Amino acid sequence: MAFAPPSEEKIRKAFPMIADLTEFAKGGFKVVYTATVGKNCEMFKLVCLPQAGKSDEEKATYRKESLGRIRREVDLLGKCRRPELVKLGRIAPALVQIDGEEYVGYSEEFLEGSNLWNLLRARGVKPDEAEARRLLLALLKAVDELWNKHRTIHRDIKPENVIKLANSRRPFVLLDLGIAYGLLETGLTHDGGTPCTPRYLAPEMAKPDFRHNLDFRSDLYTAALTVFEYSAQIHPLAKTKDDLIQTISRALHQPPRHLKNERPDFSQEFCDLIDQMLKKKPQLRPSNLQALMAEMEVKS
Amino acid sequence: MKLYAQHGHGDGKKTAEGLAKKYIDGVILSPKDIPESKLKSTIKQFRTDSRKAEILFDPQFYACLAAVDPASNLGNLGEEDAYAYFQPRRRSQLLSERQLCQDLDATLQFQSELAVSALIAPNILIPRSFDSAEAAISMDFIRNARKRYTKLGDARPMFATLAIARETLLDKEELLRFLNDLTILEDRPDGFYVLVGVNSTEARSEIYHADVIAGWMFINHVLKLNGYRIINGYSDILTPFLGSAGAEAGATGWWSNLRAFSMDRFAPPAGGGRLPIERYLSCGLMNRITFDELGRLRDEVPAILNGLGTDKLYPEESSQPQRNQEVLQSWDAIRQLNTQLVQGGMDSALRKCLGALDKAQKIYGDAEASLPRPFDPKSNDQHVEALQEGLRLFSGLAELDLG
Repeated sequence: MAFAPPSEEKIRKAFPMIADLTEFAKGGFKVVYTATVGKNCEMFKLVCLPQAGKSDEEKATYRKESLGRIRREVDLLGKCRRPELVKLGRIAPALVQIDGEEYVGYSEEFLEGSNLWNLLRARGVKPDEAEARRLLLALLKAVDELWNKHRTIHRDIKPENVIKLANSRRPFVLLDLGIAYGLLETGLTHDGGTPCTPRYLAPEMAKPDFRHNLDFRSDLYTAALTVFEYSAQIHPLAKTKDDLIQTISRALHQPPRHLKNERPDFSQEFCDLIDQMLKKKPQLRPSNLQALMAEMEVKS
Repeated sequence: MKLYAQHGHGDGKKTAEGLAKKYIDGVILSPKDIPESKLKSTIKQFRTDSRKAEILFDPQFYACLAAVDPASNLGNLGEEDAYAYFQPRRRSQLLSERQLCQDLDATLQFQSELAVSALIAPNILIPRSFDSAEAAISMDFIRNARKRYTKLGDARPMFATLAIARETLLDKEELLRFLNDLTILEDRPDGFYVLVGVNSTEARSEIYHADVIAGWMFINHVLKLNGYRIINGYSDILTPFLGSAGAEAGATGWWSNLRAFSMDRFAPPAGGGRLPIERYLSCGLMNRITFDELGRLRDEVPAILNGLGTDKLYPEESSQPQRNQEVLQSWDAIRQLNTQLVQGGMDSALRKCLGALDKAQKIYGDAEASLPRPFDPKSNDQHVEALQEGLRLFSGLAELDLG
């Protein structure tokens, strides 16, 4: 069922603190707007509580799951301090009814830049190694905060969720903790599936018992995937025409490309690190975050 | 890569000479074999023999479960009023975190008063499976080691003991699960002192088994990738293979029970037995052969000779060395193998190891054609195939492409 968002006028009526609204992106049951809140520009997110499912019981389950995810995302963002993670805006989550449908709206800071997916699609100049290192460092810092402070795994690190800013002190920011997984929290996915973007799936996430062994090394894998793809303008594993099964099968079984082959101008040391972070077994990915960050700090 | 003497009964001047001649970089002391009253003076003497010697003390805490048997052979560990950190323990006692932390405190405190280069935290042996109460206890020792050590305020590195039976390495899924937990410790030791136990130190096939070799190398590799330093006890000829996988050091000694780790060392003495035949460690064969075999082959197949200074300890006329000098030749040969094979990054080192094994196979072929009868069972080429297969298995586990 296609999702048709309500008119901007009706949204402004439901959220009167918004002065101005422009659609920025749309996907699934969520629309993101740039919005003027007070004197500031913010990103306003409007989530339609999913109507999918055939029975009332299923609808209630989906509603509970969606509300739970939004609450967790907002709670988590409210606690995060690192500039490498997006900050909350002024509009706290509010449940509203518009034309008989339930919506949750809330805002995040406005980040003036482009996401890496758009930059990749534009096929511009490839980043140099220093920039690739800065990207990896930013993602490592975000993963460090999520894991070491909040025992949470992002689970959706991908070029689309990373914004490149024109700010040397804050070059990259990681967005969208919508499917972040807290080790200390109860699972929210009631159908037993794994919420993920298959193209950016850590191999262990495709295993039935993944919840028992999941840790931040899944985020290290997707961080390395993102750095690889941004640097080489090619995904280390996936192919555009692959179907879901082929994509997951490649994640599980196919050795990834070597970064050095795609970017011979990069240092062997950096390429080896990215290759190592892309190993199928989490145990083979370097897990000492402090050491990794220190290494990137020195040469970024 | 470094090589240490695995210390034990009957040292005499072996370690001192090994240190003085720089065949070894240090020594791992065995309290079972040194009276506590002589421990400090022994360390002092080693420091005098070699100012740069790295001295470690294996607390041998893993013998505590065997110590409940009054017939156990604990040597000086069992002496009253000696090595007070060491007490007989039942498994149920160690399920208590309080007891476990007290044992950690006592063992680390004891070592902090010694002039050792680094401290080794205590642990028990995981005897059969990583899915066991012993594995849970072992993980608790490792998990708590850093916290307890920090309280001592000692600046020296601290290594956690990881002692496992070879059987634990046969189930790769369990090994992966154990390593999964081991590599995300919050309170990290500086490194690990890794021991792989066999049932009988005389059975070559227990160590020279592809799964055991691959698993032991994989542990070294994973720990190294995760930023740890690794010292392997009782690693003997496997030392360069473990080095190629990431180890910092290995160790070996003069008796067979110092070349392979076994809890047999603490079992009631069986009595009797003959002194073993003196052997020569051939780098080319990657194995020890009897002095008699050396004598028969040295002219026909010179590739079995190492061309090192210690070859002179095996005189051309009889090839029989003085017994107390046999270990010097072993250390010198393993040091040579380390130098030749552990260099230039892991892929390169592993390829060198594979190349050395191919060469060993060829030398064995030449040697067998020259000998009037088959090699002695411990001298034959049984280890070569196991090592080759072990390296291939390891490459698969480590997701390496060696071509």
